Amino acid sequence: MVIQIYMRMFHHSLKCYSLHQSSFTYSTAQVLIQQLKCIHQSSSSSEGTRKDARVVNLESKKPLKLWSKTCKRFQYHVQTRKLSTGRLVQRKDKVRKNINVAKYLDDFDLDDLEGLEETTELIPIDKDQQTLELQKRRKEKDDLALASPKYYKPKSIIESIMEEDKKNSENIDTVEVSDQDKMILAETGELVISDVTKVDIPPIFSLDSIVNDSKVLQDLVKIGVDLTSLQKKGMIETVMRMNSKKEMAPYIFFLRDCGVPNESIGRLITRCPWIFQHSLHNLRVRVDYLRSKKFNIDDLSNMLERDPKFLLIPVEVMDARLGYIQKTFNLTGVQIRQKVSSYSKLIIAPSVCLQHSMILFKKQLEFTPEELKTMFLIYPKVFHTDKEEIIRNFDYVHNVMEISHDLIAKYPSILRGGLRRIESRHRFLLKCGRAQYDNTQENYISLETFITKRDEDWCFEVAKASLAEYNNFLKMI
Amino acid sequence: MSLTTKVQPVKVATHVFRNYLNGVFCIYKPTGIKTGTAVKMIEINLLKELNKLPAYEHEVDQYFKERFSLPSVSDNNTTTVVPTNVPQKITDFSKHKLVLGDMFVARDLNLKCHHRHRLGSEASGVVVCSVGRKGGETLNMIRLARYLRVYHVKGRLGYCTDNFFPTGKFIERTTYAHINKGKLDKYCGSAQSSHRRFMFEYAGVDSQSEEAYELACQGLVRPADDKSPPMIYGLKCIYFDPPEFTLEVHTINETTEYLGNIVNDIGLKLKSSAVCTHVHRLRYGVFDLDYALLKKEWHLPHIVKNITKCMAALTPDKLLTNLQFNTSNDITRNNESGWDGGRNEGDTRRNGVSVDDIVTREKEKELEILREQIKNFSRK
Repeated sequence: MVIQIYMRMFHHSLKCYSLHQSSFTYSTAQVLIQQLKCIHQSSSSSEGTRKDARVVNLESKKPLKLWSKTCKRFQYHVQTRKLSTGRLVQRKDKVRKNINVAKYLDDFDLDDLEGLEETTELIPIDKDQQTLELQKRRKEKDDLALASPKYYKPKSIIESIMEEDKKNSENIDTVEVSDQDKMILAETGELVISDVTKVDIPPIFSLDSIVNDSKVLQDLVKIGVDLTSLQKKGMIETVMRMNSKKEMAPYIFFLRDCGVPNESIGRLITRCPWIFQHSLHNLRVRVDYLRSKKFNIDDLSNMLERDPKFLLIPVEVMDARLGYIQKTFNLTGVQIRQKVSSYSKLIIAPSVCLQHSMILFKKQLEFTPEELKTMFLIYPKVFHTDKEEIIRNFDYVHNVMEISHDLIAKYPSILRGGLRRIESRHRFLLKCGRAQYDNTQENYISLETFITKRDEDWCFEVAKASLAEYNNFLKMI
Repeated sequence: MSLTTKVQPVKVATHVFRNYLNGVFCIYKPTGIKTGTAVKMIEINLLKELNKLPAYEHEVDQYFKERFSLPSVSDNNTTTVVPTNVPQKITDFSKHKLVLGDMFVARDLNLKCHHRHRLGSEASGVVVCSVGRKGGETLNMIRLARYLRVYHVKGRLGYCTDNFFPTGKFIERTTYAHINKGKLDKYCGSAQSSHRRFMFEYAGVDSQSEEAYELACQGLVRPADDKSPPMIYGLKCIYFDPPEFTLEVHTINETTEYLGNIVNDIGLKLKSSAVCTHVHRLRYGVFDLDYALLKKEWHLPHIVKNITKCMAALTPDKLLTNLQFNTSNDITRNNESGWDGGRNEGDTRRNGVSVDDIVTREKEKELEILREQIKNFSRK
């Protein structure tokens, strides 16, 4: 009897396994599927586990019915087993109802299980070696999971106890272990206590129950780091495993050397906690590269305070982006340094962004390259704004207010941001009879007043009307 | 050294949240955004400004220290004290702001805006919103009161779209030289009179009965439910300069799409076509444009001021517009169902008490209960 098992992966490709077996029951098929499932789960995280498997009897060519219910059962089974060995803490996604595994174990025929291990072999088509490798990897992973426990408790306490034990064991042959230490050893898997059973710790949503125990988090709070934002960015686990004196302190000293004042170090880390994933050497190289390009310490500290993400970008990419900007706008070194130090997103954002907006400005809106250069030097943020936003604002300013390209190039920040403010001011000026945007004629109103000035000043100075009048007008639009 | 300290209200987040952020307020929704997005913008602003105020214990302590330790000369500066990012001495880490995060989330505010009284993205005008539990209850009372709404609807003759608004798909172009103001007024009058015919029908009363007469004596005859089809009380042309014209509409239970539909119908009846270019809500019952907050004023201090202003305007008389009618109608229905239909006329005088007396008594009881409830709401 030949059976084929189709496995459906996440990207909808099918994998086929054929089996030769004399006797076939539902329970054996279930076990087979489960085994295959384990292999795939352990083998490749990128591929993901398959959604469902399918067993076909080749002789009759009809799929056997063992689908939805049984599969779900075994998913649970696999999960619970994993938890009992390695992981003590469940993830939020995997929280499900409690299930007695023993119930489902009773459903098996134990005889079939024993027989399977001896006689049956999985023979995948064309891929014998791959499965062997996968099985190897799976074993390694299980070992790793045993070795590296993922607790929400600080590592330092456990480590210190372990180290003390080791030191003591070198000197003295026999050591009396207290009950608390026994529990810790049992968690790591070194001791086996007969009476004690493991209990899954429920997932923790806020850090208030842990903070008083761990020193790292306390130190971070003292600096002024917002731990909730680290939680949102998914960096809290990596931070908790670090040692505050040995591993964390060099980063902070490094930042202080770059010229960041003590008060704003906490804010910097909350904005960009991914610094800790990169090695200190790499960060130093990146800063040294910028210093070699004649950036001052003041420039660097300014950049770090505004947007510290440029530390995460490798030197080659940084160099390519700076080169691209210099080529497109024909800038001198001084100009580039000024712009980058005031707006460091020029390094952070990929150059494709700039490329797209250049096409928009050149071909769709028909700006000349000289005008583009002046726009860049005045307000480089325009090149990183949304496409639709620019088109919407340009359409109103150029077609309704009838302002030429030259004037727009002098005040490019009018293209970014909400249109409502500009529109309402323009309509109010029309009502007053003051909408006059020509340089050459009298009663000229510059575009700068549309952007920078507040309503109270603007009404008094430009429109020459009271604020109440303007507010009443706004309520009639 | 003269102590010229002004007694400021205590700016602690919990105090503000409990005492001031509980009630109804009005906003002026501009064109271009939906009402839901406007409410979300307000929510974001309120949360940001509430969480800036000192909320946790250590923040409050620091705030009071800084406030009262200042020398008396510089007390005139009413700067809002923002808690500094770096704390000094921390006793208990588990109750710190940096660990627990912001104190208020969007669910605590309970911002509401009833979906029947919203405006579309093409319209602009007064929209009533509510904050907090008490605010939600008053909003419900406003909904039950069925206020009259006044609109200025601008139209343009000459072309029409499938959407009734200029944003939609273009369908046809027509001439409009034959239209004058007389024809338009004629159609408006006929539409108004045809709607008046349905007035008693939507109220759930026979137009020939005595009940209808009493209702009409009380004032405006409002529809019984919130769910009845839209009812127009007044429709007239204010401004006519072809191709543009504006209408003034008094309605209850309408939507912005329905107002667009009216303009479209006018265009078709006048053997042309028209598009609704702008819908502008001037008044929502008690609330004028004076009450409404502009977009630049959608912040905490303005909203707190506006809540006190709006809650003061909502006196019990104004909330009880048609509740009398509503209760009486329900009672008669219940009594009819309680007695047998055939003996209804014979049993009107049981034990020497007429049906009308029972009805009036129960009416008064319920009214008293309602008035007490409303008084509780309007108390500060």
